[in-house]
Formats: sequence, C-alpha cells, structure tokens
Amino acid sequence: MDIFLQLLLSGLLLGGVYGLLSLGLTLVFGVTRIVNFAHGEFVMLGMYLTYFLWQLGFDPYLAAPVVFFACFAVGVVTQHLLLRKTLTMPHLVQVFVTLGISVVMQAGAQLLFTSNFYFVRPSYGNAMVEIGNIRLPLTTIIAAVLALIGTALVHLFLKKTHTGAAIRATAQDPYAANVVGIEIKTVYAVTFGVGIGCAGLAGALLAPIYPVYPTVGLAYSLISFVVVVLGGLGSLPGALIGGLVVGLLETFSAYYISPEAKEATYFTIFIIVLLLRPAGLLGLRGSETMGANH
Amino acid sequence: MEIDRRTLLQAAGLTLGAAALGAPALAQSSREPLRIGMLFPRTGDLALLGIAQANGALIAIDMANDAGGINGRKIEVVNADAPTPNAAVSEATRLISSENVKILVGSYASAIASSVVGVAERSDIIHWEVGAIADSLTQRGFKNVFRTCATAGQTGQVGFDFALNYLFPKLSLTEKTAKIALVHEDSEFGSTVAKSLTARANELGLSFATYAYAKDTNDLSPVVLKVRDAGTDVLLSVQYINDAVLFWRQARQLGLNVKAHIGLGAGHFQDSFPKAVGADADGVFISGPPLDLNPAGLTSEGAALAEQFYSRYQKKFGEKASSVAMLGFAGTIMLTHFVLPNVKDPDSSEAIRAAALAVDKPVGSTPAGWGVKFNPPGPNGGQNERSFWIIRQWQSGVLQTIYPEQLAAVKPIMLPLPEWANR
Repeated sequence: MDIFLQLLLSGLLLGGVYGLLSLGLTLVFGVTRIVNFAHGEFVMLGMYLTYFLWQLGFDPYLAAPVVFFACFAVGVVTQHLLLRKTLTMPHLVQVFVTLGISVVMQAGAQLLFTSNFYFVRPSYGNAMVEIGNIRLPLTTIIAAVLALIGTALVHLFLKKTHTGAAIRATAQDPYAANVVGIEIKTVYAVTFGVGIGCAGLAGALLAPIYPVYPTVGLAYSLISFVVVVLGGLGSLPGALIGGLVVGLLETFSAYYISPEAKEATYFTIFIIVLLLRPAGLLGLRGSETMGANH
Repeated sequence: MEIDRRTLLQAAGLTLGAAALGAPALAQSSREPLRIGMLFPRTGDLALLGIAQANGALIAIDMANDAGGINGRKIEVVNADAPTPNAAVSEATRLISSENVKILVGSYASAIASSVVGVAERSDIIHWEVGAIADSLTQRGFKNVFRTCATAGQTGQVGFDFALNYLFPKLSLTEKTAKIALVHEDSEFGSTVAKSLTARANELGLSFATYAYAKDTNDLSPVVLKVRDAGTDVLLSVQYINDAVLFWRQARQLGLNVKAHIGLGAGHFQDSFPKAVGADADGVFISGPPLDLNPAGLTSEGAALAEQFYSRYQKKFGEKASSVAMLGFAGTIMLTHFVLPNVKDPDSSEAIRAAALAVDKPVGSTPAGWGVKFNPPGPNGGQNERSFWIIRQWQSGVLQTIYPEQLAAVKPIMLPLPEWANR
C-alpha cells in the first residue's frame, strides 16, 4: 500500500511538472496557431537564466518571476522580429522558423555556455516532505503546486482581463477581432510573450530538480508535445490533465511492468486516445485541424 | 589512382638516381621525417575530450623527438579533424593519399574509429587506436588495426572482480548472501556494458538483479524503489551523467541505502557528478581509464615515463592531465617507445606490424599501468591483451585510485557507505 501511495503521489508530482512544461506551448498554439518547435529551447533559456541568477546569489524561486518577465520580453521580441512576418504564410513556413530558432538557440548555448552540465543546488535541494513512509522531494512539490497556480492564473488572465478577452476573441476569429478594433498584432505579440514567459518559468522551477545543458530542451519539447496533444491542443486544463495522465502512466508502468516499458505504455495510451478522440482529451471536435477554442 | 606520364618519368628518374647513388641515397631518405597522422574529433560535440586525447598523444611524440627521433628520424605530426564518421573517412583518405602518412593515430570515439579502420585496412596503413573502446573494433579481422587501451567489455570484468575480490571481504559479504543489483540505461552503451557484466557474473557464478531504463527519463523513483525494496547490498550502475545524478539524488530522497556503489558508466567519473550531488558523491566507486597510479606498482621504466608525462603535460597545456589524455599518451608511447625503434623500415606497414606483434612488456611498463602484448591476427587480433580498467573512488570531490591494489594510491573511505540519514 505504501508503495502504491508513493507511486501515486510521485506520479502526480511528475505530472504536475509536465503540465507546467506544456502550459506555454498550448497557450501559443491556442491563440496564434503556431506550433512552437523551439518551446523546449525556451525552457532551457529559463534554466540557464535561473542558474546564472543563482550564481549571483538569488534563490531560484525568487529568480523565477525575473525569469518569467525576461522570457516574456524575449518572446515579444522574437515574435516581432521573426514570427510576425509569417502569420499569413503557410504553416510549413512557421514550422521551419521555429525549428530554426531552436537550432540557433541550441548552438548558441553550446557556444556561450559550452556543453557542460550546470546544476542549481539550493541548500534545501534535498529536503523531503515525509508523510508516514512516503517521501516526496520539496522542490518537486513546489514545481507541481506552482504549475496548478500558474494554470489558474493564466486561465483567469484570459477570462477576466480586457487583454485576455482580446486574446480569446483573436483566437476565435482574427478577422472579426480586427474589425471590432482589436490590435491583433499586439495580441499575438503578448500571447507569444506570455507563452515564452511560461516556458521560462517552467525552466526556473525545474532548475533545482534537473541539470541544464544546451540540448536539454529536446527532451522537454517531446514530452510537452505528447502532453499537449493528449490533453487537447490549445486547451489549458487539457495540458494539466495530459501532464498528470503521462506522469501517472510513467510512474506506475515503470514500477509494475518495467522501467523500460514506460514510454511504450504512455505512447500506447496516447495512440488509443487519439484514435477515439482525435482532438485530445479536452480538445473540442475539429480542433485537430482548426485548433481549440473554436 | 591515375598515373600520368610526368609522374612516371619522375618516379623513373628517382629510381635511377637512387640506384646510381646507392647507399648514400638511402641514408638521405632515412633522415626524412616520419609522418604520422593524428585523427581526432577537434570540433563538434566530441571536441572537448577528443582534443584532450590528441594532446596526450602529442606529448609522446614530443618526447620521442626530443630524444632525437626514431632511429635518427624526427616524427612529423599531420593533424586532422574528425568530428563525424563521414568526416573521419574523408580525412583519413586525405592523410593517406595526399599527406603520405604511414601510421594513423586516433581517435577517441568508437564511431569515428569504426569508419577509419576500414580506410586504413584498404590502404594497408596501420591504424593505432588509443581511445575507442567498442569491442567490435578489433573483431573485424583487420590486420592493420592495433588497439592499446582496454575495451567496453572489460568493464564488466573489473566491476565484478573488484566486488568479489575486494569489496566482499571488507563488507563481510559472500557470493551466496550478497544481494547485487545492476541498474543501467538501455541505449547501446549501457546494454553493451550490461552484457559484459552478465557474462562475467556467469563465469564467476554470481547472480544479480537487473533494472534497465531509458536514459532520457525525468523520474527514476520507480527504479530506486525497486532496488531499495530488494534489500540491495552492492549496487552496480551504468549511467550517463544526467541519469546518474537523477538516480543518486532520488536514492537519497527515497532512502535507498546500499553498502557500496560502483559506477561503471560515463556518468560517475566526470567532475559534473560531484558538482551536481556535492558531498553525496564521496564514497562512490567508478571504473575507468587509469590515472594517478602509485608509481611503486609500475616498472622503473613505466614510472619514469609517467613522471615525464604529467610534468610535460602540465607545462605544455597549463592544466593537469586527465584520464582521457592519459589514454592518448599511454597508447602513443607504446608506438613511439616500444614499437617504432625496432622497425627497420617504418615506411612499410608489414615491418611495423611485425615489430608491434613482437613487443612483450609486462604489466606496469606504461604510465597507465598496462603492459604491451598485442593479440596475433585472429580473434580479437591487434588488441593489447595487457590493458585493463581500474577502480577509483570519490574522496572529498577528488578521484583516488583504489584497485588493483598494487596501483592504489590511497585507502578507500566510507566502506560500507553510511546510511543517508547519517550523512
């Protein structure tokens, strides 16, 4: 029983971390219809920023807001300089632009920071929360809880603020939004900024758990895509639920079947879900071609 | 190769000239430098360690040249960059056909070496491998391939021999009672080493539990829990740095207490490991290339070479030699110190091959502690049968040599490893 509970909680925490990773990706797609292949690299950027701030004496969790706004700015600038011009172009062009960004960021990181592994090690890095015989690392709990809060905040931002309403309007119909006076260029820039900010934030919260190196983003991109497609492209709660599903499947299958089988297990479930619900668990019908929120 | 008339006439002229001049011409040619191609990855992902290995090799060449060369002929190094297997093939071809090198020294990575040996074999040029460890390299029946270092398969040997001969008595364990677990990532690297461990365990009649996982994992708690719940005494692991760090952190978090941990992969012997887990690295054993051996365990010749290597490397490159550089040096010094001086005609690969196969030096003759005796053509031909890996241990963030005992520089610490709650 202890083992089962331990696995359940570990799986939920891992799932929370995956949800956090995927938040920015699903937001950007939901509004701008851009599939950001450089998503993992922006997570990497957040991790490096956190590392260097930590080296300067900042606690990683104090650094997190700074990293969010820095990445927000990077996102706005990237959107303005590169992606803005591709909005009216075929999807393939956008795919290659984001792929290009990913390659440049990886190579840039290798050039600037070398291929060494860097580790953020706060004094509480090994702290554990113990409930009976169950032991959970504090840093992972924080990351998972903040993933929940982050999802809620972004959700509120979209539902309750004027900018949020403009973003949702643009997501539903850019043409009509334009007609009623919404600056859709600004909306796209802000959305991309928030999405990249979320990626950076995820990086900041992962930095005390995982090492950072130039190609760390590849693995994060893959898992984010799985989570987002499983949950429903463009759906924020979908990202969280997709994350939890993958996290639980990984942990349970690794223990009860075999550690080697965990990817096979979640990809099998992934294929079954997509066969039954092509738009993902929480995606609306038809959003696999149109995007959610339609 | 096409030969035009001009080349033919030149060749004919030279031959005639040489014939006319007789012996003095031969003396002339023997004073020409001996060209050796040094093919290592110097750019790209592998560059950091590739360059370190090339630097180690260069020290061996420097030492030979400072001593007057090989029988009076200086060695001239022709450098080439082989970041990928494709680049390696074209550079090896260039070195042989345009640069006229007679011996290739390389190449740090097994993927690079595997493609170079094909070129060398076709061109009948010696390939002298100092750093690639894939077992298959010397199993293809090539007559021109010599490997000086130990192989990936020998990792299993040192891992279990160390556990059985050294750890068990010190931990009051026996073959019957000890619970051994092997944890490995399941890429080709991890699986190959795991296979060699299994083979050695079968030879020794040991049984153990195996747990494999994919190395790009974000969570190893299921594996840690399984190893913990099996009541493991001795943990063997084959991991890259990422999963090595994750595993050891989660071992502390979930209270996996083992009596000893031997890291047999690439992860545990990098400086990144203690950087990531801090003092938790202390007490972990690693297997790997020899470095910082006790000179008392070397022959006087080996000890003298070692001393020269460390001081020359420090002077030339401004840093302490790493184990990867040691592989480069130990391998190349076998060529320049033990083989080439006995070669009558270094322009003939047949002569080099014969001289290499004739070398018979006991263990301890080289700074790596290894001896020199190459397997004759046949199964595993060209492999130095007197090379081996050693066991070192993290002590206060520094690796110290522990095993084989005659090469040990210090005593082991934390045997058994204290429980996490007491660290």
